[in-house]
Amino acid sequence: MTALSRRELLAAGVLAVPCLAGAQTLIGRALASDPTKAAGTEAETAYDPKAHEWGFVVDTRNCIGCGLCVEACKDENHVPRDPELNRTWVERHTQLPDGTLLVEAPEAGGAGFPVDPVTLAPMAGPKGDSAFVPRLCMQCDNPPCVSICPVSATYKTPDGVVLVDQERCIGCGYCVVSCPYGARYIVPSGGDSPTGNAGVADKCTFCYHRITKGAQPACVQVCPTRARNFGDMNDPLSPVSILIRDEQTVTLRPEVGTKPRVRYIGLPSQEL
Amino acid sequence: MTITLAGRTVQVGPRSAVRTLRGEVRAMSWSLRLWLLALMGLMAVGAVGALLAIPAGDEVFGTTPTVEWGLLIAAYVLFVVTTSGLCLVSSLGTVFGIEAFAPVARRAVVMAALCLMAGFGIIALDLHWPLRLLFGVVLSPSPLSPMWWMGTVYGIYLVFLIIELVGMFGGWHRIARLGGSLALVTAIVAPSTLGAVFGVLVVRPAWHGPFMPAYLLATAVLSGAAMLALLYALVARFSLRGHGPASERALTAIGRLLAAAVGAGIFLTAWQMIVGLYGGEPGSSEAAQAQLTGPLALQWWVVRVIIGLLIPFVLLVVPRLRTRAGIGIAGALVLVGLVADRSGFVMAGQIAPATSASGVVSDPWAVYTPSLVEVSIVVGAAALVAFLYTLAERYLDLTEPVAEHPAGSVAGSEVAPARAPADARGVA
Amino acid sequence: MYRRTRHDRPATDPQPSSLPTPEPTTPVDPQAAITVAPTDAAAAVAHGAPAPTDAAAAQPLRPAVTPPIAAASLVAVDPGPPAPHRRGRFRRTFVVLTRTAVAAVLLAVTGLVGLALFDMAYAQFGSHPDKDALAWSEHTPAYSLDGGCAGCHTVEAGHVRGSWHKDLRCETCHGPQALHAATATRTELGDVAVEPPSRDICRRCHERVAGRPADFPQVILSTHYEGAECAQCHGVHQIIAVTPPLISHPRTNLPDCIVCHAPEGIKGLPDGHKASTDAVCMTCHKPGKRLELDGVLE
Repeated sequence: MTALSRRELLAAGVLAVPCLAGAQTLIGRALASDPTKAAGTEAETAYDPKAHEWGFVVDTRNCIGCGLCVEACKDENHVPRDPELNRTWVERHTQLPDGTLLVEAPEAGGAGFPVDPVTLAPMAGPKGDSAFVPRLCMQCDNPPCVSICPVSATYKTPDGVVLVDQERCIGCGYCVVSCPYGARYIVPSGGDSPTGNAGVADKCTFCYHRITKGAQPACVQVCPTRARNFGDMNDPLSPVSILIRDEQTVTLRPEVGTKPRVRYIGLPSQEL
Repeated sequence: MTITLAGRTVQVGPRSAVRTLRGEVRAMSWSLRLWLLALMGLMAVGAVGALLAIPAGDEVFGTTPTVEWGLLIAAYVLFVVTTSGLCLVSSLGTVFGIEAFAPVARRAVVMAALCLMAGFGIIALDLHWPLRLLFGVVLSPSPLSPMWWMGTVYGIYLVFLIIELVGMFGGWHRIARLGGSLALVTAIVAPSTLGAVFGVLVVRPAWHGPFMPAYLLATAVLSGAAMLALLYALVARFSLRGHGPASERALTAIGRLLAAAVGAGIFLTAWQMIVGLYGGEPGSSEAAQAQLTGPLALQWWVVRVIIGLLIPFVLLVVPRLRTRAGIGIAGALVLVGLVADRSGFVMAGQIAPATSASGVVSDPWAVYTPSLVEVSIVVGAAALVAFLYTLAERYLDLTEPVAEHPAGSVAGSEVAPARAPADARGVA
Repeated sequence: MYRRTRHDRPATDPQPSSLPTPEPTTPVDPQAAITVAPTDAAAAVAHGAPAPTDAAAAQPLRPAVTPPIAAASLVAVDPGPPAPHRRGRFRRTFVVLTRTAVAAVLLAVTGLVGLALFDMAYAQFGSHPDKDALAWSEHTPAYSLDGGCAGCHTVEAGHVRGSWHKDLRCETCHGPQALHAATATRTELGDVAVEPPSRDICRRCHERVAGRPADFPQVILSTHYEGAECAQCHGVHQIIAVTPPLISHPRTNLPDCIVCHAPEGIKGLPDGHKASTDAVCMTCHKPGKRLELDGVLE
């Protein structure tokens, strides 16, 4: 190896940068094309996220508060079993006679809503207009959690789902604090964990592993009364397209400007 | 092996280290030994807490999805805002040329660096993956995120502080001045980015709006002045290095500044509460109610208002009470009140949630109790700062050399020489 | 390797040369060499040497230019940088460029290896949301993807289709069965997580709880045939709503029958017996007329 003068070394260093950039681009391009070939190589074609716009409609007129959706989500996604950590949950909203709104979610509604065995009345004794309201991540179109993440660990896919890169998440909890719908939590260690990572943020993913294969989210599949409805808003014949077209739907807390993607039918008159 | 450290030759090696250590301890008074020993005990407690908090995801904090930010975040805010405040106050002397504040630069910068590092240590323990943060802010930055700005600006701030420290104690005056100016600019920007972390959240009415960045900047001056008041009262009380007419003048000036800052604090706090309560607006008045009559009332009224604002104001305004001890006590009380202030506003924004979070309905208040691990980490960090500052006061020259002042000639400058003799050092 | 110039030549160079070298015994004196080597008479005369002998004169003449070359040949050196010449300058530039390019490539390769190691170590280099989305899409489902079990369980699926539960999926009651669907065969059960149909399953939906739509079938469980299994009257897959008829009782299995056919208990009896709305039992078991039956009553 010939020794270099200082000038030659400097020139070599400057030249190395475009070499490096070019090589990185080529290698990156070569590697990036592999995953789409590797996945779904059998009969089905690769999933194209740009072809879908996933939507969700909750019909609270049908919800009976059985809580099977909460259990199904925990089974399907390895959500921690702690009743205070949920990707989705069910609340009961009751309009009390004095005008206030009573909100209850015993064990996140995952074991159903209890009946007092002595009075045969529901536990909190509401005597008013009650409805069950399933809650989940709104997959907002203007998500506050995406913009405030300091390391860009949370992002929105082209098909409208907000996901968390649990390898990059630092667990600061800013997204948990900023969500207007309380959809997020930090995964603790020592139990079930969706991706095997602990100390990271997690939330409803619309069962991304199911919907990309043409199936429905687990909560939608087990719902006995069609309170939860899922489909592709690009498809005019999907259940959500029909519901959005034919029914009056609202979103939760529209005043915060997050443009939620999950719509509700039949909410009690007093909002959250 | 012999090395030169801070102008003294030191033997390095296990036996000589033990000998030096023994010699140093023998040279300390009993009260100083007791003080350092107590601090070491608290640091050990903090170390245990830190070790328990390190494994990612272990549920050792009292935080829940409803109250995700707890005591550690409040302590972080306290420490890093104090850092900025110390730089702001010391800039009054170095940059703005107010003679009375001229002597405070070294003490302020040393304490600022210690507080910033303590703050970073605390936040690193709160984060579940601190190493990912270091790479994440550089490789996958998010300029839309106020937290990204805060982390980056405070990181740069630490670099500037170190540059200033190196320049000050290494004798490179121009570098010290450059570091000082850069640190001043950052000291103004950084607490406002921290305030923006809270202020951009629409869903938290207790924090939302431009008030938080301005409030943290104002209380930066408050905490910086309070810390310096305490330090300079100690300088006077224990006749530490540099005690003389200049430091007395500095203490008086700091006392006046502190009085003004406490007045501003009373003003801001009162209006924050009044506006928050006005009209009983659902969602925003609950947070104010939480502090006035709710679960945070005791801490707000007793610690933040009475101890942290009203008593110091009286001590600083009434001429008969405005003694050296009075100013020092006022500074200490303000710092205690600020602990309640930081934890109060961090809690208030979360314990009155507008909606259920992760399946938990909080009616009317969410419950948060700091766990022992959190308390031990904060106590340990404070003890570490006090410990290192005590050693710095003892072994470093924290007085400003006369030639440094850019304001020109200084009448009646330091009486004590730059290096006090060994017997004048040490705590009585 | 260090490029030598004329200024670095060593004092002696062992490199063999085609030029003649001096004999070791003779003193190294260029002038003397000059005078010794040439034996022609002219050179000798030029240096003031005595006239050569006949033997010396018989030797062929050497050209006069020999001495300088011979002097230079004592030490073998390369001729030094050539005179400024265009071909030589190109060669130099070419060498420099080659060296620089090689160095750049080596630096780039080192950089690439370093970045690859870094990427492997921290896995968050750059921005890969599409790779992460792909990772999320590759999780294993616990619930079957199509929700239909009719491929194997045709009978039960047919029953459900003809019942009031026709809009329900199998896994709503039976739990996640993706693994069972993947591992079971006609002869082997595979991994199954079937919830047995019991009151606990049915009560999740059909217990009377405030908030449920009024037209949704729900009952107050404590007064609804407590002790009976729902399936006894309502079936398992072919769900129907029935009210058990009141019958006159057989002499055996009385407690079982009472559960459905006298659900509210038996009236008019001493403490310890429950009240009843129907008097079927009373036709035989009047007070005072106590029939002792096997293991029952009293």
